[in-house]
Amino acid sequence: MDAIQTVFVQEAREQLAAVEEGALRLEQGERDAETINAIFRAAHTIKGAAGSAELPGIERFTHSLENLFDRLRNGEVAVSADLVGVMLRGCDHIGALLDGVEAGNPEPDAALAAAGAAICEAADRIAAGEAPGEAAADPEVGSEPAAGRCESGPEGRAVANDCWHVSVRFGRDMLKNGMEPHSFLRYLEGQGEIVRLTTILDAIPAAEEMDPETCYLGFELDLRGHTTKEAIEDVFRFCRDECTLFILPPRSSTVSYVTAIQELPEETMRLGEILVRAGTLTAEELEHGLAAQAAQAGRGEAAEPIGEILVQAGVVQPEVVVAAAEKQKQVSERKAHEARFIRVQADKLDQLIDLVGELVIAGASATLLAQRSGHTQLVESTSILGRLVENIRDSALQLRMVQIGETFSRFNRVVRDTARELGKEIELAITGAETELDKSVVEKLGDPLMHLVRNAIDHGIEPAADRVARGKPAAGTVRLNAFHDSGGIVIQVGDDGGGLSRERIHAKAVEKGIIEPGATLGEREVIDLIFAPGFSTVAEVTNLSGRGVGMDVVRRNVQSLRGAIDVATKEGEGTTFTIRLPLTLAIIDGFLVGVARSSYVIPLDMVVECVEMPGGTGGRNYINLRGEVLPVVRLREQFEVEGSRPARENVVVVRCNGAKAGIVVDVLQGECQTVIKPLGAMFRNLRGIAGSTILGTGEVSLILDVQALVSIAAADEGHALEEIMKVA
Amino acid sequence: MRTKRTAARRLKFKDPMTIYEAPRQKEALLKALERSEAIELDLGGVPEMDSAGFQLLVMARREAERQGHEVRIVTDSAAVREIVDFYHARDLLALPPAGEA
Amino acid sequence: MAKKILLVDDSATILLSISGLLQKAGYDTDKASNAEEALRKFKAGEKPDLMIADLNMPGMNGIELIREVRKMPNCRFLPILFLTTESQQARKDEAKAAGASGWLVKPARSEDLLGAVKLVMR
Repeated sequence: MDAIQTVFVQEAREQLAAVEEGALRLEQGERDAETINAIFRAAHTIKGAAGSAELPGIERFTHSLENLFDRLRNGEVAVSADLVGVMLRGCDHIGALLDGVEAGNPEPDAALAAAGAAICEAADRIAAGEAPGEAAADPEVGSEPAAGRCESGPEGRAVANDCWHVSVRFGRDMLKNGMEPHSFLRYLEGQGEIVRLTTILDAIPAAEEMDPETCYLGFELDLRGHTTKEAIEDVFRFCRDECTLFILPPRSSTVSYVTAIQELPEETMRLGEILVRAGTLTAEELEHGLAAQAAQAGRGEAAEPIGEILVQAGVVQPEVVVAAAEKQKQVSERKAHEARFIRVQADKLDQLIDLVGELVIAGASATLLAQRSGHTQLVESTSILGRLVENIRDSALQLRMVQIGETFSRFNRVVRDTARELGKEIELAITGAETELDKSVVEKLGDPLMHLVRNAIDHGIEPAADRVARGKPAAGTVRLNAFHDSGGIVIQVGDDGGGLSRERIHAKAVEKGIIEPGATLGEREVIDLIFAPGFSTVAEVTNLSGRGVGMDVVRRNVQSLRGAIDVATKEGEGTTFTIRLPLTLAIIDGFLVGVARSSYVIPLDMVVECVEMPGGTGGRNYINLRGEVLPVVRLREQFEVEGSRPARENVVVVRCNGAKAGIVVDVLQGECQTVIKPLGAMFRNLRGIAGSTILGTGEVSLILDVQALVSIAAADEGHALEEIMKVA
Repeated sequence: MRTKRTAARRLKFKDPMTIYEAPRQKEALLKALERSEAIELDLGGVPEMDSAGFQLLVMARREAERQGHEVRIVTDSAAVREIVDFYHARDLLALPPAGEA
Repeated sequence: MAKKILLVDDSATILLSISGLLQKAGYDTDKASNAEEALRKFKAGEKPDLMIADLNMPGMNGIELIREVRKMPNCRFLPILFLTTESQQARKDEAKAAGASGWLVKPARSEDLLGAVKLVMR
């Protein structure tokens, strides 16, 4: 796949999403011109770009769709279920073709090609079947007599001139529109040798009236070469509508010359003389032509419409007449209201973020030095600098933030299709579409979300009959929701279905050998079994939700993004999966703490408060915080830091996933900005560490994984309580 | 009244003679024609000429003729020759013989 | 001196492929991904020898762009080709009326592109 194709695939997928979204809007009854135009434009872009990327297969296929959309746009085809169906199938097909391009097979295999042909056929059928104006659109072509195109004409002799003769009077606005006659004629030389040329200057008016920007030029020229009328006409294609053009093939009839001469603006005899002088015609040929034409007029045949004479004389091709007659009314152009974007390569952005990271560190270092120097003005100016750096950091991070809405809206299609397949009626309710999160996170969310949504449709929502029996609306609802919460983003996939049945989960877990038959588990623990590896297996996989992917894989995916997933369910009322993720993977505001000589960073947005460690807690793993039991984790012990505890310790109270815990440290060092650097492979399994960072002082500091620490604290506390109870 | 006999007035063009300059150059040519009966056009420094420029030359020659004056192109450039020759208008404009610098 | 051609298209694919073809043929190219950007370039004094612009662009469309360029004193008479498809005859007329010099049918094959460029390039 070359560079152009790579760009194309990405671009085409974006456009495809636009077509799909448009199709769904059509189905929902939004049939305004803007929606339809957007669909057309997207298909149009794909087609054009496919051609440029040298992917004729995609180009051809998209052309079919574009054709249909064009008719839709012109009101020649009505929106129907069939139409939307073909649109969506078409999108899928283009998607499959793009997959092929990415996999290095730009040409579809036989099966795919056949599928494509079937869709094209369906599209063409719809485009044709409901186009009332189609048959009437070009009656002229059909009724135009095919005869009379012979080059020497029905009567009269042929001239001796073995050259093509071209008479052209350029349009007045030619020069103003950036065209240069000289260039056109030079280009014409590509078709043969210009052996005779006369510049016709009759149209140049007297100095006073002459507009220096208007084109007054005309030419009579003879061209020798093996070419065709179409090829010569093609040279003048850009000015064809504005100029007067006659092209006479070699050895045309004298009559056709005379006809052309008479059609040209100059006086007949003057022009005739010019041609004779130039050697295009002999004087005798000119006379013969004039006489033959007069005779024809005498027989009363001059009443023929000029267009017909021209066609018969071989001067004008019938198509040209039709084209001229078919001047189309202008389609008023609607300026689509669209967001404006600049496409930037992702790695450029990453590079920027990296640099900003370095800037943050350097800035922190400068601030530190300034403070030490005690130079007031320096401190002041570094603090301004610091604020600016902070703004730059925010803006830079913002660049990578995308709204989750686009990801969400892709599920419109999934819900529609899967619900239809299952014969269920399901609506998708999207909220929080404008919630932003890091692009790299969004990309990795697609699969887990897809699984959850399919699960909700397949297993969550009950059949309509059951729902009605339970007093619920027949149509089920799947909800996608997103919002920001304490420095992270929360994404929820919910349904108003039957909820998870504890008994069934328990039974299945026993059956799969995940738990012992007699095991007694708390409510939460039973529900959590769905995340156990091996819980969902092929046996219960329908063709929808199952691709051999279980909830355990979903959980792993989420965890790899430093996130967490949990589930809330109520039997008969529905199930909601909640995914919590960090907003970004790059930079955080931190709170710096110290243990012995090491410092650690706690993400600031998780810090609730700092308190002094109460005395007399001994080795206990919980403290009394204003009457509340707060589990704590001692960093000194957790990371096996050497050295003895100071007389006074501090507790940083953190909150994560709704749970609170305390982190016991030696000293509090204040807020700082840090750039998260990924941990080396060595530390990846170290529990409680999320990454590392370099401080302004050049020191390396570890960033704490608060979520992990909170759960360690909670587990320890539970453990400790058990111990206490055993003793008691 | 209109005969102010003066020596041939020399008019030198150094800018391109294209549609961008044509309105200005048209005025210059007509003004010169008003002032003198004979104009010598020095086009030796014209780096570019298009059809608009070519039309101006035709216009100037015709206008001079109408007034009974004379416009003579005494020096041309490669750009001028290129288009005038292509348009087979060397005689019409009475350009100096080819090869002249 | 190589002639400079300004390309205006919101499709990165088209920009890349057309500029590739033109550069191979010895032209200099400059790119703008929307009409506004192109106008900014003109206003900044850039003077290409030819502009090739798409008609369908978000924001200001190609036809408006052509009208605007035809108002700029230093490039009023710039040759302008617009990109179109066979199915857009009406747009073709509209663009011509706005002052376009010619058009290119997308996707432009190398010889069509270079032919059209040669045809209108001064």
